[in-house]
Amino acid sequence: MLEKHVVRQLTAYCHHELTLTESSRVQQHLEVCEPCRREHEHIRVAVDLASQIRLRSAPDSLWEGVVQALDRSPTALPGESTSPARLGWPRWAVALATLLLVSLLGTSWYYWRLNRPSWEVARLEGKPKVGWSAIGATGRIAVGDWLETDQSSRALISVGDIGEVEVDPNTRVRMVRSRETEHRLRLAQGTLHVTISAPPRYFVVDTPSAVATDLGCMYTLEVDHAGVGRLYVTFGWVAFELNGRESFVPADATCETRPSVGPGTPHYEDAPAELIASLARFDFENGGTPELAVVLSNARKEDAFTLWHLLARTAGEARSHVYDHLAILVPAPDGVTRDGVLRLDRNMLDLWWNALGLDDASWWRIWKGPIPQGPQ
Amino acid sequence: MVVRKSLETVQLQREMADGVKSAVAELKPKLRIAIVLKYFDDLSYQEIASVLGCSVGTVASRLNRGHRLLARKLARFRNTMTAGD
Repeated sequence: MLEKHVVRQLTAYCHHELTLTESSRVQQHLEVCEPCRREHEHIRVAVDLASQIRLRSAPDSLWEGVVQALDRSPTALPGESTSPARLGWPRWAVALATLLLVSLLGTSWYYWRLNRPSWEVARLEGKPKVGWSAIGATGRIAVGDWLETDQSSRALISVGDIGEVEVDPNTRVRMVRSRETEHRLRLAQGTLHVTISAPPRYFVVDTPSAVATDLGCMYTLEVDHAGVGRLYVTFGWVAFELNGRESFVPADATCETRPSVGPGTPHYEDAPAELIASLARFDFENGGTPELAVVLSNARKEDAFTLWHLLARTAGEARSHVYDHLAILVPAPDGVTRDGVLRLDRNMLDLWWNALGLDDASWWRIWKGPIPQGPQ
Repeated sequence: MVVRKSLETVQLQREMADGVKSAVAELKPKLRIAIVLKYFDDLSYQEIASVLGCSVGTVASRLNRGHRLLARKLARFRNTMTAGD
């Protein structure tokens, strides 16, 4: 089961920072899980390489930005505006309306509340709260409840039997829905680490600037105080969507999303810095042709999926330029014509996607189709 | 022959050290801080958490992401490291 994978513990495992029990669980899992073992080998090499230079003093270039970031005051958890709207009605009318409302809805609300679907929450550190109450070692979050962590608390939500969500400090997240085929959270602010083992679309997170739909994977989702979201995918795929603007983000890639704009163009985290900077300006600051040119000229072969996304985000001559650069990186396969791609023919785009060496497009296209029934 | 081999080794080690430094320098500040504190200051996860004012879990998460990225960026040294095991 994917939720038992140990990918997120591997670095701590290599650094001997796990407890004996955790370390033993990781070790046992590595003996039977090929993907985690492969990942462990990669992490091990990175740890070994970094360890070789550990005792030399850090060059100034490495500290660039570090001191600034340390000096920056921690982001305060902004409280939502709780001041009630001033009522313009006379007091007696307000009281009467309230009384009526309470008498009509009170009982049904009470029973609804008792029977709300809920998930288990475990306290990892500090004093995470569900609603107004701090939870003990474990607690439950029900539909409509907010889970909140302060600067020193963390929690782990068990999402039914399909996976788990680790909640970082300074996070506000609400349970929105729990059905057999739909498990939904709303992340107002903070960071979630998601591990899900279920068919595509069974797990969804709403954010202020996009909807993250799980396509069978492991990922981290952050939302800052301004509603800007960032998605980092570790395993599998995540679809990021707002008002028809969608991005498909594979493992080791990231995607930013901003309120009223929606998801930007996804890119690998290790893409050239110039490409990343220009892509952000193109997506969110009307960067236009000059920024697009920088993106195209800096794209490596593995950045072809970024260019593929740009086909639908450009028009006219700009789209032609994207086509030409993409065709150099990954030649258009049989059945794909320049005219068809410039018309954004869905079948041709899918065929070209399949030639990128990532998963077959038909696999993740199903997130737009009927919800598959039953677990995998 | 021996001298040549050791020169190659030195050259390779220098290349790897430069590669690691560049790869770390290219990380986002949040990930870079954690890596620098871990390797250049030799701090434990708990100590890094205290310095950064965050939880140990957050440190572990950032270090894990940082190492995943380093592994991708330093993939060219993988065979060398494995051969040296």
